[in-house]
Amino acid sequence: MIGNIDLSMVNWARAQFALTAMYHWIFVPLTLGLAWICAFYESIYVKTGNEEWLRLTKFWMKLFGINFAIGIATGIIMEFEFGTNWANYSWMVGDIFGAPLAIEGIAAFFLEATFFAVMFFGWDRVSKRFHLTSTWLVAIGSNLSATWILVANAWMQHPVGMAFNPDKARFEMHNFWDVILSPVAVSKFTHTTSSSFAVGALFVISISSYFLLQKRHLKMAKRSIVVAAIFGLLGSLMAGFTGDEAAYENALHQPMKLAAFEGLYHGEKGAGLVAAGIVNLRKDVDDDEDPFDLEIRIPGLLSILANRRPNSFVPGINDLVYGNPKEGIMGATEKISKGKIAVQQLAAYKKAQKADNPTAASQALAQFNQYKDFLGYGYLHSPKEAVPNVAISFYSFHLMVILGTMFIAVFLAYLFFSLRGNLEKQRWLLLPGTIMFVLGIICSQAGWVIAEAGRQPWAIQGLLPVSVARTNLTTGTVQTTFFMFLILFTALLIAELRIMSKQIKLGPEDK
Amino acid sequence: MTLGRTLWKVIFIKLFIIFGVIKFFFFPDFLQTTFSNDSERAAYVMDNMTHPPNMINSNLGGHKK
Repeated sequence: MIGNIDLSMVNWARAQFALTAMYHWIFVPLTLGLAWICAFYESIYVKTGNEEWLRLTKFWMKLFGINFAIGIATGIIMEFEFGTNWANYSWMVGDIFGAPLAIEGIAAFFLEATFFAVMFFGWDRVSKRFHLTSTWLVAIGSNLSATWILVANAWMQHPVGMAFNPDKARFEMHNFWDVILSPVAVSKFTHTTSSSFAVGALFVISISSYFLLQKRHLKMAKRSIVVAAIFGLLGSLMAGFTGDEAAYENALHQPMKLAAFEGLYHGEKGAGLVAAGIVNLRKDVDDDEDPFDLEIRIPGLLSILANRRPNSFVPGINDLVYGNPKEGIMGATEKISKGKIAVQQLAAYKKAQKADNPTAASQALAQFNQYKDFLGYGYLHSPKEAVPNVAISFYSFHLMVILGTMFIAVFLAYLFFSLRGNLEKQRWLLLPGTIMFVLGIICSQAGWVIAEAGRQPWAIQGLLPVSVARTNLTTGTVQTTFFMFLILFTALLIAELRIMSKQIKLGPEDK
Repeated sequence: MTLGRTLWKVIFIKLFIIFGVIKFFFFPDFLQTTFSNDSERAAYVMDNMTHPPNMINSNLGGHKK
């Protein structure tokens, strides 16, 4: 039994997970995007036989290898955290996550590791075509291995294809295909990978811009940019399209997240989208304060984003907390009442089983099944606990959208001046271009912040709050490991930056 | 080759720290090490689910209570 707990432990455990995930996510999008770009460069080399493309490929592949080597295994720490900090959660989802994560392990190990070795050490040992095939398989393998962890995350946002087994206290998978083909999983995978393509392209743009400003390796930089700008543009456009789909899925399955990242407190028909704004931090759920100190709103656009209909109703935070019978929306208040019945009946089922009373057990189970969809709400003490942090959700969402839109313009500008043949003269573009990769990482991280902070207080949407998902540890224990990870990851990041900077300064190998 | 050696060094030091130090000393699998079989683990988790915590500071979402 948990008894009294100070939720500062939960918040430290969340902060620790966020820290490790965010550091890990510096390496991952670059791997996902740059792997394809290396494959494109090498394909051009094999097709044309031009040695310049070989030098170029080897240079970018070297940087890819540094990132891969330093980033590898940084994600495994999150698995440690599941077992130590999130024991209840870990047990409950073991049956669901076991299959996808096992496939990830196999795919990552056999496909990536095997062909990664050929890609790096096989230049003079295998044929051109076999080497090219290996490069493509590394790109496919790394993106495939990302699929499974994204499927697992999507399941937490929208749990499907499962049932709760009260005898084992865990969620059990009933339909594998429902889990991996859930619309949330599909949109999460496509949005995450396409945005990572853009991040990979921004990496190439940033370093190539540096070379152009330095007037070094001009031909290589310009060639690199053309391919990266086309790939980045396609990735950015696809990220915009899939992001729209992700918001639509939010409206269907996580309306509170959508209301939070738009700062919408009172639902309305023909709801406007806040393009930019300053959140009023004094605002609370049931007061009359204005949600924004400043806002620029586009009329009707949020209704289109959420429901594909301009005059449709989009529920606000207040509707989702207190309910809106007119629009058929059940509030967190009512869900909490139902959830508490689910928790009570689960306890009654357990007690009846201990007392060897099958009739009482069967009755309790029937009652539990009636309210099981509200189970997680039974652990909330106030309906306001169902509201995520609005300021964090709003700013991270809008930062992501603003940067993502800007990248489309950046890729178009690079492509335009590349095709006109005077890119190296556009210092106004090349100077900010050198920091585009950093902005790409910030954009990608902001996307994860809205995905994860925006679904609080849930570890599993509607079924398990983070307060029940965690292990009963002291805050001090989690704080210690938090700072250990901070030091370790910072050291790794410094190592990556130093090794990479050195290789960038050296540039491609001489002819 | 200098680059290759540096990367291998980084990889091995990192793996040693992650698996040899962090995992071994700081991140035991709580349920695996505390209980001897799955029935005990399930009973423990069920106990946590049916006796939810009394939260001292439940302001998870960032809103005033």
